[in-house]
Amino acid sequence: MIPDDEQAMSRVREGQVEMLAILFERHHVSLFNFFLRLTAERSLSEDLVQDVFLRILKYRRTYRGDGKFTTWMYQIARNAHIDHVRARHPEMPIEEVWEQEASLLPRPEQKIESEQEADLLVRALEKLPLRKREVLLLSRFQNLKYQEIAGLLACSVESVKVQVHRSLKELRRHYLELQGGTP
Amino acid sequence: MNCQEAKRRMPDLLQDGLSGEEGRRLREHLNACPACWREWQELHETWTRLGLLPEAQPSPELRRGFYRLLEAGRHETSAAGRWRRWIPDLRLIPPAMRLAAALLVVVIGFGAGFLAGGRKHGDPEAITRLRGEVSRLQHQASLSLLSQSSAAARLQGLSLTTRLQDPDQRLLQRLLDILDNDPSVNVRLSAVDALYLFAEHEEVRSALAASLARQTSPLVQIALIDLMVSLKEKRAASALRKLLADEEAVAEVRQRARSGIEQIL
Repeated sequence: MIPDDEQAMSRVREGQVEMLAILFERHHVSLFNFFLRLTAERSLSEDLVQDVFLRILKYRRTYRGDGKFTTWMYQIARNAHIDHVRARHPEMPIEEVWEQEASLLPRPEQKIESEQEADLLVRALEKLPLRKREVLLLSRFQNLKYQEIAGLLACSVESVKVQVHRSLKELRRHYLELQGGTP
Repeated sequence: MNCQEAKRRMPDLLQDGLSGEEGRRLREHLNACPACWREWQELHETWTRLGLLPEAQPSPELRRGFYRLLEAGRHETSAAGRWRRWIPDLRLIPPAMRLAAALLVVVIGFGAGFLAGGRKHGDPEAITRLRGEVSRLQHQASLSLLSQSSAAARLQGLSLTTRLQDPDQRLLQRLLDILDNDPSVNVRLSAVDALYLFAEHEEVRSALAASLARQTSPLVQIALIDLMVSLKEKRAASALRKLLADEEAVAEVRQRARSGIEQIL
């Protein structure tokens, strides 16, 4: 019988840490893409994935098992990312960093290789403030329901929906501008 | 439903659709209000376009790093487990005794360190055991991914399978089932590639030869013919002859079948 995520994590919590391999194999690619789309840096994204699994191992006893494992995992992923942002921009309050668009934040020059249309989309995503990008990624790619995202971000479900709506509109505007068209 | 309410509901329609009464009211409003309909179209188009973003693959170093981490974590847990069994609850020991016990531990630690000086780290038996467990878990993870309904997950499962040194019978059988029955051509093609790695197993070679006659997609047929030729698998000859004689088969497939027969026999 192959354990589902919650059963595997419960066994990790009870000391069968090797069960973490199942969770890693199931989720590391998706987690990597989450970070890559959030930060646009491959090597950093791999470090963050590693950090998430290290934290899962370290804090395994805090897993309560009363919700979806992935919601808990993305909570840890957010914390890992926030810690990284804090370390990179110690001079700025975190709220301020969160509202900045990625292209305004100094970071190493690196580019995601992709087809032209996907490339435009990546660049348009990068123009969104971190907060909006994160909500969009969690709802579009990480299979998290608005209710679960609201739990992660400690806000109401209605607020998540409003953010998704606004983020999509803003993303479209940036995308069309990059394409050379009018929004 | 008014425009404001319709806008508030649009994200629900994006993520998992709106069923029942609310869904019906929103669709009615969208059909009747051109401004909301345009807004909905734009949101939907952007949401769908996001699906174009390619899924990137991390470097192999990430997996290696993780298994190193797991090994260290496992070592630590088993050591902690042993300690827990042997050490009584310190809260029940008087403070003076605790101090004495702490000093004793320091002395024993120095002594053990001195005696063990020069001995290499790592117990080969433990490492072999851990590798065995990791392989068992990789088997489980592969089987789990291979039975997912999403083709992307099954492809991931096939990719994970190719990293296994010695897949067990159950996993090999699952790969052969996928080759014969998976609804996605891409997944079946990847199964051919994965099975190529395990062609030293007699049952895999014979099942591959038999599978050629069952394939209907020209892409999979060509991949299998190439594989049979590279393995010089004579048991595929009758399936190749049938393909050659099949007038409805794609010309490229028949041509490959002809050259395949020449190379195998």
